[in-house]
Amino acid sequence: MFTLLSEDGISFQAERDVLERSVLLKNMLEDVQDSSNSIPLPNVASAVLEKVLHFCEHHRGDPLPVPEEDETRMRKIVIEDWDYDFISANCDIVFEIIMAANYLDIKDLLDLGCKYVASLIKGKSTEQIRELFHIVNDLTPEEEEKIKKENQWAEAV
Amino acid sequence: MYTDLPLESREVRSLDEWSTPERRLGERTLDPIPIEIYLKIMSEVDDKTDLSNLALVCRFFASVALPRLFERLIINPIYNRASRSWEARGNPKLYRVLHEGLDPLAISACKYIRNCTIDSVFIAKWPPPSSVVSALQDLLKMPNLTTLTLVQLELPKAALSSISQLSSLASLTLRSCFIWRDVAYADMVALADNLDLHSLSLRSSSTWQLADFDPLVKKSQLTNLYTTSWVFVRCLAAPSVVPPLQILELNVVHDLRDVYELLRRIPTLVELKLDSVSWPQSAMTETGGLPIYPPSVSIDFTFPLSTLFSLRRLSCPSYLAYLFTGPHVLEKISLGPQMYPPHRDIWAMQRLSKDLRLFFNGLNVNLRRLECVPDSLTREPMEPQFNGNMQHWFPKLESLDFAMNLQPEKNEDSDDEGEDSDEVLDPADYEDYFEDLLRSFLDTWGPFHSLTELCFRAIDIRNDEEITVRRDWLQDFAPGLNLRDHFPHLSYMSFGNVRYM
Repeated sequence: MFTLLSEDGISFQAERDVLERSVLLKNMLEDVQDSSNSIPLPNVASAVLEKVLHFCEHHRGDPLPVPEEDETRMRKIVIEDWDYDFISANCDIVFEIIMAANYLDIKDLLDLGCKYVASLIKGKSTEQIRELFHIVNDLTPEEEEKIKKENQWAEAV
Repeated sequence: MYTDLPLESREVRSLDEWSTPERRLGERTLDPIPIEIYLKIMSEVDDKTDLSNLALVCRFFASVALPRLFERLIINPIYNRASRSWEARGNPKLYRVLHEGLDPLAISACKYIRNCTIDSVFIAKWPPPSSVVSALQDLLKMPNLTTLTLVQLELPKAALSSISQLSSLASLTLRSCFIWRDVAYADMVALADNLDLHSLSLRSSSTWQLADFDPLVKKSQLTNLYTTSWVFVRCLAAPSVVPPLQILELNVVHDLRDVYELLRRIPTLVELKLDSVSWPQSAMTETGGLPIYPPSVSIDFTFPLSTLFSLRRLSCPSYLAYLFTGPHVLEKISLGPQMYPPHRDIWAMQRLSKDLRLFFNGLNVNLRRLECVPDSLTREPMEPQFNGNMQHWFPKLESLDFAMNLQPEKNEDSDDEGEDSDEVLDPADYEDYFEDLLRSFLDTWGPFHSLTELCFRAIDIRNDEEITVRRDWLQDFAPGLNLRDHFPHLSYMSFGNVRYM
């Protein structure tokens, strides 16, 4: 068992094969035989780390996704039921999970989070998308007018 | 709800001047989301309305969404019956504004267009060359156009002149196009000199016309070539400069010996796709058969893939694949799509596959994916020494995909030959066969530790449609196979369009 220390000082214990879902942790653990020292993760809060470890625990033993996988995978790129339930149950911290997955280099969790957010964008207005991301609008009114005009030209005939 | 108003400025800046989006929740500033995550999320969005809404979120989103919205332009030359004239209609609407040429914002938006198709395929009458030239001249307003596809058009010298002025063009496809009589060989040379093409696709045009394009191959640094011209293959195989091709796709060409001669001269090849390459003429004289389909006679030569030391992906019908020999360093082999001869010849093709020198002349050291494999490879013509030892031959194989070719049993009361039968193929009739096949698959391929994905597709060879088996049958039968005992890392398995795992 290894111990992870979250940004807010909470310890979590996990087996090596669970942690190795993260490429970052896998590389760190390659040189570590002694599990007595905890591994600090200064960029991940405990509430997020708990969810990330839950995901890794569920997928322990699965083959690791290949980086830059070609487009010809026979498996359809869809969100599995468990994964969908997991990410939608944590939608209030989905961006924190995505950023943790990005930092820890957990490709399948990063893919899942990004696909989920993309599915939330579908059918939403510009204002609703801003709220989703909590983004501040930095466009001038003139720039907005210009983009609206270009948007009209983007329509099909 | 946000109360932020757009900035009180009359400035209209270039969207290239974006900064990482600021995030705020009430009075609290949130951590910025890395740009690569925004890009990954937006790459999953395809709907134009969604992209239009994204473009208005902030400057950074606009800089990503607008190029996506205008990336592709399709122009169709249309005959206007009312005005009795030809006009070019384009999608999206931007093209109309651009064609009128008055709006500077439309000219500016042209920088987003990277891919254009001019296609007259849906009209009975070919548009006059002048309308094609007019449409091509509009493309000169698109400084970042990298990909051009022309379909069923007559191309005069002026058209080639316009194409040669597209300074960013890297990929050109001509499909069913006809080169006008005023085009000289020197014009082709000039076209090759002016362009920096990396990809060229010439298909379904008359072969003598395509041969005129050989300066584009000889003088360009092409890495990607697709052609349906056997004349072109002969041009390439001639002792002259061969481009550093990485991807080569040949379809409906003859014959195999010319293709092999060509392949020997392209050691840079990374991906090879072959379909409908005919048997050598010498073999054909014995049977007098059609050139496309292999006769039921052996061929006296094979092609050693060891000469293509960069080749990583091979796609071809099985009857061609079996004429390649290992060892190789392929990462992916796809034995399809198959072009089926009349059903009675399938078994002749299977006989040709007996040696399997592609797979068993040496270890398949890099092979990760094996697709469209004939179901005969679950048992016959496997030699007994291979059974249960496949992990040794395929040490890294992760994904295995079988194609089961089915057709209705011939009704003895009917005169119907079978291949034209309207009889519906009932998968339930094949369940005993499926069960035998799965059992023999386990004996032949198990145990296999690296396999993670396994797929069996059942195909009605009369129409090439995939057949769906009974879910209840699969759910009842498959547990008894104990697949995880044989394939401990298997995470996906489907059979006959039904997912089991």
